Amino acid sequence: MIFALVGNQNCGKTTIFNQITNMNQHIGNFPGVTIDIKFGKIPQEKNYEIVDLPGLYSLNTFTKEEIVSEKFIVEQKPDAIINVVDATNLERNLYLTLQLKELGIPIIIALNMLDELEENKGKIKIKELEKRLNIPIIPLTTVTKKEVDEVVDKAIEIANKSTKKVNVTNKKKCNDDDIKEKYHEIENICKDIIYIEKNNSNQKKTYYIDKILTNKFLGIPIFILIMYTIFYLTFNVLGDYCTTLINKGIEVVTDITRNTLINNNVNQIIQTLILEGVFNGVGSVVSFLPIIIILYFFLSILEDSGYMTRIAFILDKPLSKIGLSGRSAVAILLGFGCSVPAILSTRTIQSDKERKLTMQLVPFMSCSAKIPIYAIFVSTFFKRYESIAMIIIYSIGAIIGITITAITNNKEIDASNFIMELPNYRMPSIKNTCILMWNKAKEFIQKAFSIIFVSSLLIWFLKSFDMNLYLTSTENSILAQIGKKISPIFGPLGLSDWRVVTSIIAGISAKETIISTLSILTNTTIKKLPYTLQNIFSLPSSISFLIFVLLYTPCIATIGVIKKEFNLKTAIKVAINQFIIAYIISFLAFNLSNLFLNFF
Amino acid sequence: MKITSLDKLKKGQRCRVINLELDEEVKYRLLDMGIVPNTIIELVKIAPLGDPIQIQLRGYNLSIRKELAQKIRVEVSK
Repeated sequence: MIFALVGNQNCGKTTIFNQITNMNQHIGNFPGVTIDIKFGKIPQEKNYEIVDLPGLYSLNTFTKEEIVSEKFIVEQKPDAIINVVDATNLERNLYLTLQLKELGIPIIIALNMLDELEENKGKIKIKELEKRLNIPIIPLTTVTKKEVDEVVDKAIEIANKSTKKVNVTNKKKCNDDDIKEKYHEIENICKDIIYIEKNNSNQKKTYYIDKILTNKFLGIPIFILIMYTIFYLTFNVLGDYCTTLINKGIEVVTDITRNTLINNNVNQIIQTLILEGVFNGVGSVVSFLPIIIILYFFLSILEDSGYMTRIAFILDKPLSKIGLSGRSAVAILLGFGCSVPAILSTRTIQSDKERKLTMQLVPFMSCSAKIPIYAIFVSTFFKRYESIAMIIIYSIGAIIGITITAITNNKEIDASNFIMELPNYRMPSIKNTCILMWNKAKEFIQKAFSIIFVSSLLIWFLKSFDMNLYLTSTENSILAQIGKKISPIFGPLGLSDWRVVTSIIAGISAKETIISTLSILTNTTIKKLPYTLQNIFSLPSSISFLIFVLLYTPCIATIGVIKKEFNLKTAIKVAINQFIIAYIISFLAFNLSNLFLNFF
Repeated sequence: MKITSLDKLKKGQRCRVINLELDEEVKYRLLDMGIVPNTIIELVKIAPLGDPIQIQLRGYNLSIRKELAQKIRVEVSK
């Protein structure tokens, strides 16, 4: 049996889903956090499955994510619908309820956020609402295990009770009168059963916070200040401290391992494999885990608090100038974390054209996987100017991306419609934030020990053996042979060293492998890498490298998600375009900085 | 009573919806969101750069562009 959680955006479906299934899905205070269908098992009942659908306002779907939900309901015909209703926003929530009721699928209401309603001195007559709607209601306050168990029991009960075969016809053509009538009915019901203060404390709180955060004069400076603070804390204060700590840890573990291997007289090849391949490769990447987690921490606070929707509100106007909207702002910001979820989040954008433009812009937002590269290069070549250099790197990506979007969007600006709910501010839940950070850390570690581990081994193998599979020096290895053939292509960028070229190519698998590859090929630990890099790069070539890495072809995972969300042609086009753009800009940067240095 | 469009409202002013002069798809979305005739809407604020606007209806906040608001005919008292 399948049960579907259906409801408006941002009404707490995912919280209920997590509680029922004991899973850890991320929850946000912004419409559209769940953009894909998520399946989960109900632990105590083996054959029952529960589905968390993206939120929707109506069965007259408007955006891609809503279509996903509507299609699931109409085509998969769940055995029962658990309609999650936000009691603090009853009128609009009940509209969907009335639509769902017409489908004929057994339905119950999980009436959520009753605690919030009570906090605001609101009152609701649940029994009467149940009678008027003729739908069983389970009240929920803090979504405890006990509460959701009742929801599940009730859903099973009504699914079993309904014997008639459900005949879900595709949505009827809606019309004005039908919608008007539904709202009229809802108004009549609400008048009798709910009392909620106008301008209750929650709304007042939000109103006053907005007075500052979306203030006519302060709104934009505050936004810039918040973003600056996030980057400053992530890269300089917290990140730096944590990375140094982890590096020390890795150094200690490496030394212990080295001594153990030597003391036990382990085979020489195995020794170098473990020390050079595994420790240098994977270790160089793992040390950046804290920075990435800290960045996600801030992104999740922006999302959970409800501020992300205000960013969309503030930035809609400037983005409309290049054919985007406030909704793209969200995808763009998520892009600083990882392009994959950022591209998925474009499903909340209604216009196909805007959606595609946003997707093309996302890879220009430097993702967190590139942080290790910047961190090392900046601390090596731009000492004492680290934060400025970082800001410049991120800005270059954003500026070039925006310029290209503006150019490719043929002048007639298609100002797609921006219709977005601004939810009340909420205190980000510690549990929710921890879940997100934990999930990201897990993902990262998994990546370190899968893709990065395998590519580290592969790189190690190719750099240790020659064409006849004899152990040899790096200079004579298979990789050197191949790398030296390709490297002339990068000559004009000042990147002719084959080890650098190899790392760039390896980076297409995952950007983290750029640093792990450089570590392995130069046979240095992460701590000593800066000294080695000074021998390989000049100042202009390091600038060229940073810009190339910032802009070139996104990783396989991103290309894959573009193919999935759009099509293969688009994915290939993005991959090639990014490479060409990176090549041109790096070429200019290299030659200009050379010229500049010669001049002075 | 004065008939005007939603974008003409001042901050804090309230109005009653008369009708929506919009293309089908967008119109249905706004109707779905509860902007049906006779709904009371308050203009809460205008974004720092002059667009979009924030409105309040049925106890929740919604942001739409002025371009859309222009096509929502409303009635304001006095």
